[in-house]
Amino acid sequence: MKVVIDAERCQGHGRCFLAAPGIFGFDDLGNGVVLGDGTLNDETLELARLAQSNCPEHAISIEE
Amino acid sequence: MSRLHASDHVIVVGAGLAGWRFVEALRREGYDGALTLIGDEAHAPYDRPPLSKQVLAGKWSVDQTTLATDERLAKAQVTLRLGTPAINLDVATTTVHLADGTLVAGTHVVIATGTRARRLPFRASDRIHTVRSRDDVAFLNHDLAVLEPKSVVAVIGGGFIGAEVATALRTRGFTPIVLEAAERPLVNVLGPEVSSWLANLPATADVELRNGQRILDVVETDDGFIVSFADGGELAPRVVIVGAGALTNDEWLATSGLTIDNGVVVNEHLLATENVGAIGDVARFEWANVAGTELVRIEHWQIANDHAGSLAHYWMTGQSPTALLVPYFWSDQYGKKIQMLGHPRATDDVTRVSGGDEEAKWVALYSRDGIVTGVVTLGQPRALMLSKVLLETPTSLDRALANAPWSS
Repeated sequence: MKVVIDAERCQGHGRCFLAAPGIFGFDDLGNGVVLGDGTLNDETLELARLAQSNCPEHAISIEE
Repeated sequence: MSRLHASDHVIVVGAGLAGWRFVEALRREGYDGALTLIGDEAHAPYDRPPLSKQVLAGKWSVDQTTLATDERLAKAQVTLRLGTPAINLDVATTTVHLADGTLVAGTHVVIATGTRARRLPFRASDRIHTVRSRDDVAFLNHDLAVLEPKSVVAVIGGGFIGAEVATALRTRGFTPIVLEAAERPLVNVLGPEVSSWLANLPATADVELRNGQRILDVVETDDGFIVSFADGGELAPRVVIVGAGALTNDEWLATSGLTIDNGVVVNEHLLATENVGAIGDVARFEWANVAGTELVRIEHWQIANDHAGSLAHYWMTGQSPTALLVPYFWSDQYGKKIQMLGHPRATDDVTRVSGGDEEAKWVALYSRDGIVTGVVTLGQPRALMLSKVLLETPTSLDRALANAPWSS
C-alpha cells in the first residue's frame, strides 16, 4: 500500500505533517510531501489514514 | 467511568463532519457495538468548507464533498437515520426522539448538531441565500443560472463566508458587491490592526467592498431585489446572499436538563453527563490552552475532527489527549489564504514579525499578558506550520521573537 498527495489539491494546511510527521514533510512553500516512496506498513497505515481524514482538501489518497 | 462494550449502542445526533468523524474514530478505536447516526439533512455526511470555495466557484462537483461514501458507510457498520431531525433527548434513558415520532434508545449519545446560518429579518428573507448546506448551494446555483454575465449579486456580510462567496462569484463572471456593517470586515475577529492589513484584498481581486453599510430592508422585485440603506441609498442586485454568522442547533435540547448556554456545555472530556457528550460547532467545552483554561465554542473544521477523535478515544480507553488542543482555521478569499493557529481575541496585542501589506504576505503574532495566544498568516503556510510550537507550551512573546520559529 502507498500513500500519495495530490499536489494540485494540496493547499498547505500542514495537517498531514502534524498528524504523521514520519510519513509526511513539507516543501519550501509549506505544501505537503510524502517522505520516501510512501509505502505503508500496518503501523504507518493507521497514521496515514489519520492524516487523510485531517486533510481539508481531500488531497491524500491511499492506494491499496 | 464506563468504557464502551459490544453490548452498548452509541447514538450520534448530527451527520456533519463531527458526527461522521466520530463514527469513523469509534470504529478505528475498535468499538464493535451498535452505532446509529441521525441527521436532519437527506444527504449522507459531506464536507462543508468546499461549498463556499471550490463548489461555488465551479471547480468541484457537489458529489466531491461526500465524506461517507457507500464503501466507507458499509465499513463503518452504522445505521443511518437521515432526513429525520432529533426533537428531544431523554438524558436519563439516553433516548433520542425524532421528528417522525420514532424513538431511538441507546446507552450513549453524542450531540453533534452543529450550527445553522443566521438569517436576517428582511421582508425578502425567504429569497435571500445562505451558503451552509448542499441544498443551499443547489438553490443558489439555480438562481445564478438564469443571470447574465456581470449581473450584480449583493453579499451581505464581509466576514469569512462573505469573502469566499464573493471571490467564487467573481471568478464566475458576476459582479459581487460586499456590504459590510462594520468599519471593515473581520475587525471583531482579528482586531483593528490585522483587519486593516486585509482592507485592500477585495480590490486586488476586482471585488467591490462597501464598509459601514446599515441595511434597513431587502425587498423582492420583478427581476431581483432592492436593498435599502439607512443613509437613503439603494442597491438593485439580481441575487442576495447573506453571510452573517451561525446559530447553534441546540433548541431541541431545551427541556433535556442539559446546560445550554451558547451551545451544549461540556467538560474537558467533552462530556455533559457520563453517557452524553457534545462535539464540534455545538459544543461549548473546557479548553486548556497556553493562557489557562476557558469555556469556548469554536466553529472550526479541525476542532470538529479533533473532538471526534478525542471523545471516541476517551470512551474506549478512559484517556483524553495530553497535548494541548491547538485550534486551526483557514479561509480562501480574494485569491489569498488566511491561516490561524490558536484562538486569539480581537483585543490581544499584535506584533507583525514578517512581511507587509504591499506584498500581501505576512506573519502576525497575537499575545495577551506577554504570552503568545495565536499566529495569523497571509499567504505563508510554511511559516504558520513552523509556529505551532508557540502554542503547544506557554511561550513568552520575547522568547518567540528571539527564536523566530516561523523563519527556520
